[in-house]
Amino acid sequence: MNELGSPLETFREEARELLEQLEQNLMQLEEHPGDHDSIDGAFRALHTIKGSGNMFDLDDLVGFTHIVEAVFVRVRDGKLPVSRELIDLSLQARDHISRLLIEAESGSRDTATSERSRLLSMAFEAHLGDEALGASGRRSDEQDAAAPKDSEHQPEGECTYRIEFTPAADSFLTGANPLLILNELAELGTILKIGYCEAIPDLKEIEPEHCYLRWVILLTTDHGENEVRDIFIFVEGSAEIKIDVIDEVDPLIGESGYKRLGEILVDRGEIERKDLESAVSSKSYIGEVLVKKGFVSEEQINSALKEQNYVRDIRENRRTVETSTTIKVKVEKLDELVNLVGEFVTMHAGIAMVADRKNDQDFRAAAEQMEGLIRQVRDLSIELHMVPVEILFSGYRRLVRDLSEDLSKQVQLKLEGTETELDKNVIDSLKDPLLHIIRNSIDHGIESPEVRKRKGKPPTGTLRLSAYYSGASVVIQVVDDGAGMDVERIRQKGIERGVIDNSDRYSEQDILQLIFAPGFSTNEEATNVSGRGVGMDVVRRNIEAIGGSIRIQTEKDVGTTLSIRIPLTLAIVDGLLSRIGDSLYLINLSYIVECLDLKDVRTAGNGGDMIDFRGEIVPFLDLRSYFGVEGVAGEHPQLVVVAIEEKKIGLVVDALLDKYQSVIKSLGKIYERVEGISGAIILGDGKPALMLDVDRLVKVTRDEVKK
Amino acid sequence: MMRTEFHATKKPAQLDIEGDLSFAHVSDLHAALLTACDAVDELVVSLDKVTSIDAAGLQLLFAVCRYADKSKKLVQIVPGAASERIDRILEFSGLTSPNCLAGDIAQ
Repeated sequence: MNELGSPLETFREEARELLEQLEQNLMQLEEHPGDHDSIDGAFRALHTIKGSGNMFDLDDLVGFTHIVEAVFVRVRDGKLPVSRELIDLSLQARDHISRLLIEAESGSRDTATSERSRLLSMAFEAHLGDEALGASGRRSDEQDAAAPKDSEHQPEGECTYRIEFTPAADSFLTGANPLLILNELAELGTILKIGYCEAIPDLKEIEPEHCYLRWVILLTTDHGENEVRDIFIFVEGSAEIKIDVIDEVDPLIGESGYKRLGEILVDRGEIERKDLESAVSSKSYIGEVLVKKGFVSEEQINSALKEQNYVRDIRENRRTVETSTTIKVKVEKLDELVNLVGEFVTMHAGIAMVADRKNDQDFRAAAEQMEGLIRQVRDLSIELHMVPVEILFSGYRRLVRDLSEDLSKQVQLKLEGTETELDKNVIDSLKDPLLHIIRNSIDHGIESPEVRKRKGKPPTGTLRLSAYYSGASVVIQVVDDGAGMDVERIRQKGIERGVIDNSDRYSEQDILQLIFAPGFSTNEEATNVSGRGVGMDVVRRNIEAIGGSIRIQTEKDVGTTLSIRIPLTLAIVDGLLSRIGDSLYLINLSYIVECLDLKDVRTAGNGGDMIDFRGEIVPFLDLRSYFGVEGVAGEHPQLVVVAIEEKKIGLVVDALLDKYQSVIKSLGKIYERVEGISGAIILGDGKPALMLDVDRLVKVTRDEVKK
Repeated sequence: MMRTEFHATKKPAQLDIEGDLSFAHVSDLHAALLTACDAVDELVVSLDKVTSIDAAGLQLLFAVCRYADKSKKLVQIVPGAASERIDRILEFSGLTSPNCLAGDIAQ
């Protein structure tokens, strides 16, 4: 089932995905030019775009894609090596197909695009050598049909082979029992055997020890052609064997039907196309006409009909299986679902509160049961929203490639932890900040090959993008082995700009954080890549907007690591509700190490601003004074020990209330700059509670202690 | 092992085949079938006592039907107790039933 809408809309959506795949395959090919999977992947993407474009009469797109595909047929067949130049050209072609797709969508036709098509086509045709294309730039059916035969067919999933098998006349005598071969083939997958007995003479003429039988076998299997061929290994020299792929999984091309009867017969070489055409003009049933005209036997017609039904059934089954296992859903609908679940959570909190107030056991039990269900629905809806960071990371391959080329640097990109999953919305929000950070790393971090050599480093720099889980957060790191940041220079610049004073009370991290100040740059000259510090402030703002934080570690001539910590999901959190005065605060459960009665905790440190937490001296923060809440603290203040990456602090609150799951709402402009608060929630009774920004509070508290 | 018995006096005449209808015996069987077909205009070939059959044996049955068509003689192959065996090999080999293969002989 496809939820996206019209077939054309589906094609556009899927073509865009195929172009992404094409780009990834090309990037992979550049690193590993002999990688057959990437060659096949690129070819398949082009082939599918062309095939589907054809269905919608997108001639420009089809014509152009066809030429690129033809070049990749040569690559696949080992006739053309993968070179840097070919990858360059193919990436340009990928961008151009994307352009053609946009024009097809808008219905406009730009002359510049046509000219670009022409120039790129010429460049690709130069790679085609003597292999001419069919008329109108389209490869003929014969060429298309011939293409896969040059190399062994290795299906990605299941495919259907048509095997024409004529045993040698003496096969019974030599002990090559054809039925045993049929048996072995059947073990490879689903099989339809169509036996032909038309060559058997009558009793007077038959040589009883001769074999007159032949078969057309349809085999649906995920085994490669070589494995199928291996079955015939002992009869290869004597029997006639022809193997063709007649059907394979193609996600875009209409699947339910199959070739018409006449086409199958032409395909099998059982009739000439001209004979078919002459029979088609008649109004009678084509099979009858062909038999009547003596072009084919009844047995051949029946066999072709069997093939037609077999492939139709296989396709229909596949379609049923596919549609019952996956569906496409618009992200907006998933967003809506998560939001509704969030509202549901809030509403349930209200119901639970009423149940408590009424002190009705049945009502309370029903509310608890409901909570269990809501938790399941919540987890499921969040899971639906999760996607692997690979989607995000692999999009930067092209950027790194193009940028390092523009800057005459050599940079290899390494991706780690790509299977780590994050909320789709978080991934979207990270796209631009990461782009900016990567640009900076390549522009300012990684040195030119000459400089690196002088420093005794390998000429090629490494940029590593990695992701890993850390509690309810994911940490994304951008690590380069470049020049590192000059902390002293940043400090000086900070003093010059009056952002910091000349004292030594700033930690290295404080100074490094200056690069996120608006307009801050130590570079005297702006480059057209990363400019003059415009953007890093936006980077931090964007990351903080999704509840994340960013830290820098750097070492001169060794490199820089930017670590971005972000919540797994933006939607719903589990928290511990606490009270300070009349205000309520929610602390994300994933950060909480332990809750203690403050009176049971021993203070430590000279000013009594530290606690002894199980033998570890940990700073603490009295939230009442931090947020300036008036009044007197409660009788039994509580200490909540929280930790971020092993860095612990204690948070003092008046009272701890209950665990609470809720949807986080943005605070809007007014509270944007309130340090230590990252959002708000609405409780079941309609009262608001503020979400503590634990990451920020840990930083502030520990920095204060350092001072 | 394969044995044939021709009952020329029966109406219609009947050739009983017993044992393996397989490659090892197709030459002998071919000769027996030719003799029987030449001798009468109406023939029933009974497979009732056939214990096994292979592609070569099956092929010979097709040749019998083809001969019947061509010669305009009335030849019927009756599988009898071997019916299941015949069906199995036809299904396995993907061949359609020979057109002179019939049901049981009316006694």
